[in-house]
Amino acid sequence: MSGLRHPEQRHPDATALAEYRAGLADGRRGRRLAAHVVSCARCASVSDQLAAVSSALSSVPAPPMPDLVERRITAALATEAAGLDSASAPTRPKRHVRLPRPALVASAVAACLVLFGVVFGLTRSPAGPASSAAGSSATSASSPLAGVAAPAASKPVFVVTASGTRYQPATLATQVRAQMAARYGGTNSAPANPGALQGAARPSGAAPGAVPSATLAGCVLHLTKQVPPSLVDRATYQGKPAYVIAVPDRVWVVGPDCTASSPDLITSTGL
Amino acid sequence: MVTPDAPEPSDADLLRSHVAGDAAAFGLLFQRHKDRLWAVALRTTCDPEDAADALQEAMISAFRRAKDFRGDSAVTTWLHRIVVNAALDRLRRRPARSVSWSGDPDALETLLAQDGRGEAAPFIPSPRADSVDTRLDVDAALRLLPAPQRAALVLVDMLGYPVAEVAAILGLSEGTVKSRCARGRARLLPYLAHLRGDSAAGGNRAVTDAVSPEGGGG
Repeated sequence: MSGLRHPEQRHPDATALAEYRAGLADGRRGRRLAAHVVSCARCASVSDQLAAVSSALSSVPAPPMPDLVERRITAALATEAAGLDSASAPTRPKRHVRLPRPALVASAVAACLVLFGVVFGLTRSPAGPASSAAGSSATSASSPLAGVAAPAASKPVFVVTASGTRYQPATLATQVRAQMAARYGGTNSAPANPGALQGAARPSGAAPGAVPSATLAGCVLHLTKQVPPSLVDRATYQGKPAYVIAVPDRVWVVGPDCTASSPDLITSTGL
Repeated sequence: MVTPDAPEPSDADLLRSHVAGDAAAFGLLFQRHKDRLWAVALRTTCDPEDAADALQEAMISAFRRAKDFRGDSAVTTWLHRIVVNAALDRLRRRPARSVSWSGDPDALETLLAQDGRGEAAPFIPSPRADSVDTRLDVDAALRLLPAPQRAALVLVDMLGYPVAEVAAILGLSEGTVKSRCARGRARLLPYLAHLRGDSAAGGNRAVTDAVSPEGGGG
């Protein structure tokens, strides 16, 4: 015999062992589990593995707050401190670059964009969070209200234009190439780094870019697999409101309600 | 635990100053604890957008409700409670995403590979001690937990808060916190036991075999 007197004293499952380890099994059950674990190599191993789970969790460094999230929240708090309800902030985006949410959120948008950058940068950078986020947050940490005056002044990954183009299925690729050429002088000059678009020369007459909403940013970066898009144009497709999103070799047309989890994709084609 | 490492005013001092009308006080409080609060929001929601939204909501809420703070817990506990509640609330309002994905292709692959639970576990990438790999796996695995369970486990195991404090943050008994953590660890065992932090992973036997209650019993 193995020393276990009852059939139910066969190997306890991982949850029972985890509860035992957490001190939740007392009385007879606790004694039974204790006796079992010391005499059973298999369950001792599971118990070790439960410890390894905790250890794996604790070994993940806590990510510092991205700079733009900090600015956004600092700005929101400053708005509160000024006695303004953020919901009644009077600022309104211009009509031709209408944003889905009030302007205060624009900073949030930028925040999320950089957040994306930080998060995804981290996944590729073995150097860890400190290199990308800590340095930038240090600058504003010294002045808590930095960014209040210009919450959207930070560089977004991309901007949204409103060219007014009426895109059509037959001419989509041509129209997109024309838009990209008009904005950046060619289809191969996609920005190499986030923020490059802000400084890109714009032809006179082109609408200045607007900072995208967080939802739109999530949608766009989802579609482009985090590649900064060459073009995000708020326009119409077959007469209906749509965003036209392009990287140098591909274009997507999505409905106005596109989100990362529900892209609302109308069409997509290579360029 | 969050240590008030600034020498000057305590958290409670800052909160009192804020209630008394000091416009800068709450901002200083936020500055002092922002990274911790961010980590809590991010790990609880598993989504940077949701985390940023939840944290902002929480800070505005704390700003407005500061006068209701009675001092029966630490200010940090109170702040954490508001952040966790905002994060869980946000998740409840967005139930559609059963599998929430941060956008990282690697994380998605890991998540999908693990979706089949026991069967897929052997296909988990080799257990390198590389911290980036660890984090990706942990991120993906955490999404498998129900949010309240994840909140408890994140606070206790990932962020290292004492159980008693987590109980105060979550408004639960210590026993409930321990129970949620235990269940969470058991649930994550097939996915994370290969990540032994620094120690060598060699010698692990097949996890799925070991955790099966029926496996070779008797």
